[in-house]
Amino acid sequence: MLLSLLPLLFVHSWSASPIPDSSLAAKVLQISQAKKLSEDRQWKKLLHFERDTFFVTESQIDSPNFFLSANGKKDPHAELEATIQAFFQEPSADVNEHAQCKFPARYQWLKDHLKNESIAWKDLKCDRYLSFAKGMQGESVSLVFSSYYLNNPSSAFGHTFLRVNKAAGQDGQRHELLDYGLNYAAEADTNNAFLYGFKGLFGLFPGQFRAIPYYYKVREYNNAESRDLWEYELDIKPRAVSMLVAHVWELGPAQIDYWYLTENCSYHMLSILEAADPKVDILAHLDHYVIPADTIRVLWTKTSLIKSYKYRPSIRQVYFERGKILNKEEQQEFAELVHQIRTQDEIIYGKSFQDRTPESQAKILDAFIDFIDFQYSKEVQEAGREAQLKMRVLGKRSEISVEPQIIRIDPAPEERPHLAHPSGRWGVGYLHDTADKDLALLTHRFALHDRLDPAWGYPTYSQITFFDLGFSYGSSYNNPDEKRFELENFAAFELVSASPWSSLIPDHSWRFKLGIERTRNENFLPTHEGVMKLGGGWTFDYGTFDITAQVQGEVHYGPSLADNNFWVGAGPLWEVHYKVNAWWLWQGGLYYRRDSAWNKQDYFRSQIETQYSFTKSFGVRASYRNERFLEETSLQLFNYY
Amino acid sequence: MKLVNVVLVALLVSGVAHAQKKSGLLSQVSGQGYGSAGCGFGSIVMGSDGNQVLAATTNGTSGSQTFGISTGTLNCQQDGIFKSGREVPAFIEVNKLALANDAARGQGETLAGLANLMGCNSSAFAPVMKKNYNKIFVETNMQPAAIEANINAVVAQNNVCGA
Repeated sequence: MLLSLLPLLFVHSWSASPIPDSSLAAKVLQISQAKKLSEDRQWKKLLHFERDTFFVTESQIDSPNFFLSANGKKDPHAELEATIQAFFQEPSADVNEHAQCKFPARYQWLKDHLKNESIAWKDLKCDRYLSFAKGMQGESVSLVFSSYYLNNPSSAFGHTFLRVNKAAGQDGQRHELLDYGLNYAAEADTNNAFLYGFKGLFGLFPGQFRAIPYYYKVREYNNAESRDLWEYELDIKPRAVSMLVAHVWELGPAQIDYWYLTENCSYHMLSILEAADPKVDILAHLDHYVIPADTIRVLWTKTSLIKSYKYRPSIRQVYFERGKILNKEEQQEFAELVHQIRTQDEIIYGKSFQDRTPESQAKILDAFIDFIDFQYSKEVQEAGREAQLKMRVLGKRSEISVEPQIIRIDPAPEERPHLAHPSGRWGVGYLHDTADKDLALLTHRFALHDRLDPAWGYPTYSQITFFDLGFSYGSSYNNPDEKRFELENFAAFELVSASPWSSLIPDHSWRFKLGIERTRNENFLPTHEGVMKLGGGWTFDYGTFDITAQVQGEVHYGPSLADNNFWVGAGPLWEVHYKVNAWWLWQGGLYYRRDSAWNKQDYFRSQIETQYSFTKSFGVRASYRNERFLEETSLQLFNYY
Repeated sequence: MKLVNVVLVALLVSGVAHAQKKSGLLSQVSGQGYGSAGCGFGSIVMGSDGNQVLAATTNGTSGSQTFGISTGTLNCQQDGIFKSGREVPAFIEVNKLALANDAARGQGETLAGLANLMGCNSSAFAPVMKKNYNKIFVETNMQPAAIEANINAVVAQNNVCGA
C-alpha cells in the first residue's frame, strides 16, 4: 500500500517545486529568517495570534484552510516558511487557488518588509481578488455603531461593523450608501433560545466575515429596526485600507468560533484593523469582555484614532422630528390623515388641506409619509393595504413642487455613545434596617445602565441590567452572634423601557426582571426566592421629569417562605423619575401588590432613591425603602469601570 | 452549588434575551422563522463553493428576507461584489421604499445614490423622477426590474443621463 503511494508523492512534490523559483524562495526565506520576520507584530496579527484566557498564545482562526503549514495555528515561524514556499510555486490551472491570490495581505506585507532587497517578485494576476478589491475601492474606514432601539432594550449591547469609504462619485459628492460594510457575525444555526444563548456564550457558533453594501445595513438598522447609526471615521491611511480589504479577503473562507461576550463583532473589527495597520493598538487595552458600546468609548477616550463622527438617525427619529416642526393647525391636518389611513380605504384631502400653502401641504405629507413607514413598516414591506394608500400619498406629494425640509438632528452630548459612562459597575455600601441590623453591601454589575447612573451614552428612558449581583455581610437574623455573607439580589437580566407616550409615537412602557431576591417574612427570616416580574403601562414625559404608571405581575419560587413554594402576585406601580442634570437623578415609586401566598396582609412598597455622580466613574447613591415587614436605608459608593 | 445555579439561570436568561433580538423583526416583517437559509440575499451572494464569499449577515437581527430580495435580481459575482451592470437592480431592490419617498419629494440621499450609480447628473435626475413619479411607481408590489425599466424609459425620454 505504502509502496503504491510513493510514485504519487514523488510526482506531487516534483510538480509543486519547479526549478526556476526554488532559488528565489530560498533567497526570500533566508532574508526573512535573518530579519526575524516571523516575529514581526503585524505578521502575528495577520495570523491572529493572541493570548487566550489560559495564557496560551496561538491563532484564533479555527479552520485549517487558513494555514499553509500543518502547524500554522501554533507556530508563526513554520507558517511564514510555508507561506513563502507557496508564494513562489508555479500556479496551477486556476490561478485564484494560488497562495498569492488567497493571501494577498500576507504577500503585500512580505513585499513591504523586503522592499530594500533586490528580489524579482513574480506577481500573479488574481482576477477574483482584483475584482473584489476594485469593488471595495476604499480611501478611508469608518467604524459604525448601531445603537439601541428604545423599545427593544435587548439591542442595547449594540453592534459594530466597519465601512470602507469610497472616493467621491462623478458628481464630486460622497455617496455613503454606495460604500461597502465589513461585518463579522455568528452564523447561527438554531432557533432555540436556550441553545442560542448557550452556544453564543461558549463559542460554539462559527463566526464569519462578510462584505455587505452599506445601503443594506442602513435599511436594516435605520429603517427596519429603527436603530440609530453612529459613524466614526478612523484615522486609517488609504494604504492600510487596501491592506484591510486584502486581509478580509484572506478571512473570507476562514472560520473563527464566535464568542458572544469576548471574541465578538467588536473584538474582530479591531483585530482586523490591527492586522491592517500596525499603528492601531487597542485590543490589549480592552477588558476581557468586549461590549460594543464600550469599544466606542475606549476608542474615543484612549486612542486618537477617531477623526470625526456622524449621526444617522433612524426612521423613528426622523419621523418624530418632522412631527415636531408642524404647527398646531398642521398637526390637526396630520391627525386627520392618520385617522383616515386607520379607518378608510382612500385618503381624501379635505378643503382645509387643499387651502393650505404648498409649503404647508408638503410639510404635512412629509411627516405622514414617514409616519406610514415607521408605523406600518411590515404592511408597507409586504405591499399590503397601507402600502397602496402610501403610494397614492406619494403621488400627491410628487405633485407639490416644494423641496422637503432637511432634517438635521444633533443629539445632546449625553446621548452620544462615545461619551458613555463605563458599563461595568461595582459598589460598596452600608445598609440599616428595621431589625436594627447594620450590614455591609457589596455589589457588582456586569452591564449596562440603570436610570440613576450618570446619564451619559445610554438611552434616557431605559434600564438594561445584565448580571447584577448584590451581597451583604453582617450578623445573621437567626443567630445574632454569627456573621454571614448573603446574596441579597441577583438580576440575571432586568429591563425597564419607559418610552414616553406621545400622540406622535404612542409607545407603551414595560419592565421585566429575572433573578433571585432575598425576601423577609413576618419573623424576619430571610429566604432566597427565584423571581420573574413583568409589568406594562405608560410613561408620560414632562421635560425634566417623567411619570410611569404600570401594572406588574410577579412569580416567586422559594423553598421556605410560605406553605406553597410557588406563589404569584400582581398590582399597580407608579414611578417618578426626575433629572436635575446628567449627574444628579432622583427616582421615587409606589407599588401595591396582592399576593396569592399572603392572605393576612397585602404588600405595599414605597421607595425613594437618588444618585449624585462626581464623574462618569464615581457616584454615590442613597436609598430609602419601606415595604411589608421591612424598612431600610442604604448608602452606596459606585465605581464604573 | 448555589453559584452553579446562579450561573445556569444567567445563561438561560442571556439566551432568551439574545434570541428575542434574533427573531423579533425578521418574523414580524417577513413572517418567516429565523434561519431559513436558502432564500434572499445571503444565498445569492454565497457562491456554490462557499469560498471567499461575502454574504449578508447581521449581528443576529434580521435577515435579507426583510427586504424581500428575490432571486435573480442580485446578480453578484461569487465574491460578494456586484457584477458590473448589476448594481442598479440590487440597489433598487433593497432601497425600493426610500427611493419612492425620495422620488416623490424630489430629493434625498437614496435618489442621489441611484443617480450616481446610473452615471446620471443628480441635480437633473431628481426633478425628472419627481415629475414622473406616477409613471415609475405604478403598483405597490412592483418587481425591481419593472421599476428599473420605468426609470430607464423616463430617463431616456428626458435625456438626463448622458448616453
